[in-house]
Amino acid sequence: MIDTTQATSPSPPAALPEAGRSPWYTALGQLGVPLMAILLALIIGGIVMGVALKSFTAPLTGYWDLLVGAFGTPYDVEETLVASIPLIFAAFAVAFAFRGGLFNIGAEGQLYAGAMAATAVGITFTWPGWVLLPACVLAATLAGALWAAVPGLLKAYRGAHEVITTMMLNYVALNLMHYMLINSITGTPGPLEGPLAGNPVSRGVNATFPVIVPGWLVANARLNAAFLLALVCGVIFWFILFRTTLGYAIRATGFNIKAARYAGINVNRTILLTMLISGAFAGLAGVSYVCGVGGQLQDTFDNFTFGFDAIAVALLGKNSAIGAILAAILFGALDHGGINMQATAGIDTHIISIIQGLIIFFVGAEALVRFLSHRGYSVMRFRTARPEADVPAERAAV
Amino acid sequence: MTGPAAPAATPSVAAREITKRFGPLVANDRVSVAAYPGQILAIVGENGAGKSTLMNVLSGLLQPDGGEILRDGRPIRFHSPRDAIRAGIGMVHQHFMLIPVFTVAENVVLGTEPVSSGLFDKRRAREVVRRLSDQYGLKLNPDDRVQNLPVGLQQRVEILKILYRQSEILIFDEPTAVLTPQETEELFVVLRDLAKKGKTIIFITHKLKEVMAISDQVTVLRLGKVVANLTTAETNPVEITRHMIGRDVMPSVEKQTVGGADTVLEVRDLHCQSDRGVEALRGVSFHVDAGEILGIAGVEGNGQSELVEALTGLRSVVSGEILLRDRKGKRRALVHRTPKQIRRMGVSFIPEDRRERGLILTYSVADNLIFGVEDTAPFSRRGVLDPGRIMANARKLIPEFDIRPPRPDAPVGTLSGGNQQKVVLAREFSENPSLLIASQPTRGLDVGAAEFVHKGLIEKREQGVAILLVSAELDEVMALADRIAVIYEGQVMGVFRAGSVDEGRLGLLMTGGEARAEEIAIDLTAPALEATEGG
Repeated sequence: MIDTTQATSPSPPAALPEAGRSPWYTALGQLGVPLMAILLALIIGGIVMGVALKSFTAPLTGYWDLLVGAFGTPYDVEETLVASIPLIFAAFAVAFAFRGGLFNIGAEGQLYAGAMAATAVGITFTWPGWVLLPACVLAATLAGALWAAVPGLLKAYRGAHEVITTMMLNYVALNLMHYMLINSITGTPGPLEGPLAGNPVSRGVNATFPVIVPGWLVANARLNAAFLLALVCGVIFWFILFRTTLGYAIRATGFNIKAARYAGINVNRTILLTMLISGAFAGLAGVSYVCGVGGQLQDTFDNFTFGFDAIAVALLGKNSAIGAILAAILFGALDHGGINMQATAGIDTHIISIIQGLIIFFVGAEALVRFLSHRGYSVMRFRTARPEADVPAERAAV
Repeated sequence: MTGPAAPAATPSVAAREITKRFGPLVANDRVSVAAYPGQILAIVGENGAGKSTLMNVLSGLLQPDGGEILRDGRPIRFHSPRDAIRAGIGMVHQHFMLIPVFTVAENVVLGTEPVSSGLFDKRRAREVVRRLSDQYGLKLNPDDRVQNLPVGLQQRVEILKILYRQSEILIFDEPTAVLTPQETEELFVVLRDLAKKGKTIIFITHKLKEVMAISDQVTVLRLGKVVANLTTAETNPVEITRHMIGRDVMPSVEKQTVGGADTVLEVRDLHCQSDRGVEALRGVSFHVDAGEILGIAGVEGNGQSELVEALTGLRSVVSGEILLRDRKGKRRALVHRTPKQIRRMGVSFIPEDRRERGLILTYSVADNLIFGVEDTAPFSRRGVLDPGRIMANARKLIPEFDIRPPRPDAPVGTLSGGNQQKVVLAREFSENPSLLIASQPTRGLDVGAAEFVHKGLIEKREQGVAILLVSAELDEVMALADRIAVIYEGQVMGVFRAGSVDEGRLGLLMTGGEARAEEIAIDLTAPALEATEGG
């Protein structure tokens, strides 16, 4: 609304219902879609269980076992968190790139790069742990960043689409990792292969993240300092994006590259830096496993698909640090709790994949969820920003 | 409120006491309008007055919270635009909804294609479109690809689309915003013809000249309410304006002459290519002095965008020179500099599309106010932003530029167009420029906001800033500029001191109707190289 006149002409009401709302309300609104998505996924997953087992109670017992399995004992809580660690890092990688307008589906490959670098450093040197572990972390960070630099450079200076380049580099990284563990061409051991011939695993690394759960609470706990590192990275993630000029430039470039260019932001450099930082986070995901619960690099590392799940986690977490952490813990809970569900209720863990898939589907189908919420079916009324009065015309016209 | 001064017939479409709310905002407050067959009804009002909301209600895009719509006197309810189309109400939007690679005929029939034996009957589509086009004098070839048509003809495709759907009521949302003066004239011929054939035309605008030229009736909206229903023949622009903004507009901006100034910007024989690799600037030369506004007049697409981009470092220069006298009085070349370097030398830039270029819509007002200077003191130090300083800057500029709502943390995308432009102005003005490039600075703004922008430009001029004003609005250029350069097909056709040339002459030059003659371009009072050579 325009009003350049004197104070006598009444000022129109604020165009935005959101204006003046507390940040808590906004935060709650942010949660709306992911929570609805999770709820809908659980309901449909429950129907699938019920139909598959021809039982009305199966979903209830199944979900109960899932919940108990994920959080029932301190051990389960700890294992749930363990499962979430690489996902948190990898989700930071995807979310960070998203913020800069880039779809980095190469977190998987960057994660392998980080894992290989950490392994190489970790099995080569025999320095004391307080030197070697940071060295492994640093190596993984750099390797992930370097792996992402290739698509970053191609995107920034040659305009190659990052979806294609990052995806292709996933295969390169995957096969490089296989080669490192077993040279299938000549049948000779790979550069990182351990002493057992034909067994495609590396020797154990000489430094691992210390376990942070006291023995009296959980015997043989595995939750290690990588989880704390992930939390620290969450702060770093937020700080870079929202408290530095680089983050300002990254988000500006991500939202409107034309405007960024006009304002004098060096968008090519910004794109490259976005990919480097994104790749660094993915590299950390690699070391968090190799120097965490893995303890070594295995040929079967790609079975985890952390880098791909991270896309879903980042989406569910709305590309924020806290969101990514919470979403990763949810996925960790589903993965770890699913084991108990299978053991106790006899429900195959594939149902977990179905639920995870449904969550992604509903996050993607935000419009549908929003529609249902507005129809009053929602557990929580939420609203996203209402456009100014004149906007609907433009919307409709585009 | 005056009663509708209209013929006794039943209105073909009428809104009765329509109310539409968006949260606490009442966009339409018991609005009643009536449009009659064979007539052109203009709906005027400032941005945010509720025009678009009303039209979206009439065309079925929005459902009203109260009131009803009457079609030929009978109440009717729309649940979607489809219902409105079925009831014979069609809308031509400001932004076209055409598929560029389709032909005219394909675009027109899209969604309700003629079918024979289960297949799209292209021949019949062509015939129908040709017949309709002839009937209403639209002069469209059904086989032309839409992407090859100029904007004016694309708009006619939109008109044809709703005629094809047998609309009796045609709503135009600011149809002239994208047109050249000539195209506007041609559109008016079409509109009059449609009215003569019994159609009802509703025409939304905030250009009073057009209201006076085309409409039979005028309905004025302000702050969501109907404030006047007028018969065009019995009113005048001053009266309409008073209704629109609730007060009289200031008489045309007063300017004081700032004399004896130095040349701040000098452009010599500039050549540039367009995005498609066509030569867009063919030897452009001109200069701008301190304390002067040089207006670039021209029909859009004649090299203005490329010129502005070349000056701001966004487009590479093929040949030629751009020289700037910076704040310290040093002459510096701008060719092959980055946008940031040029900014640092004291060039501010109001881009022609604020939503596309001037702002990050998801960023807050405060963040947008430092866009481009975010990496300088005091807003950041060693790459770390200082939120306190950023907020303080916003708290200082928001009242100074009367940005509403006065909330530094409001996302800029939620502000009205006029207030978005104020954010851009506040930022660009506060950078203390020696050269200000303003590209279509009032596009899409209503009278009040445009006046604000004009005042701001004049104020900067009086402070000794050199201003390059690029505008497709000839009135604006003539009112503000000290000198006017006419650009046509990438060449400067002549530079004139304001007042020494009339609109007709400029219009001719703008459209290539008058050859670029050496004698007209000589401006004896100009101190430096003028645009008489090159090209």
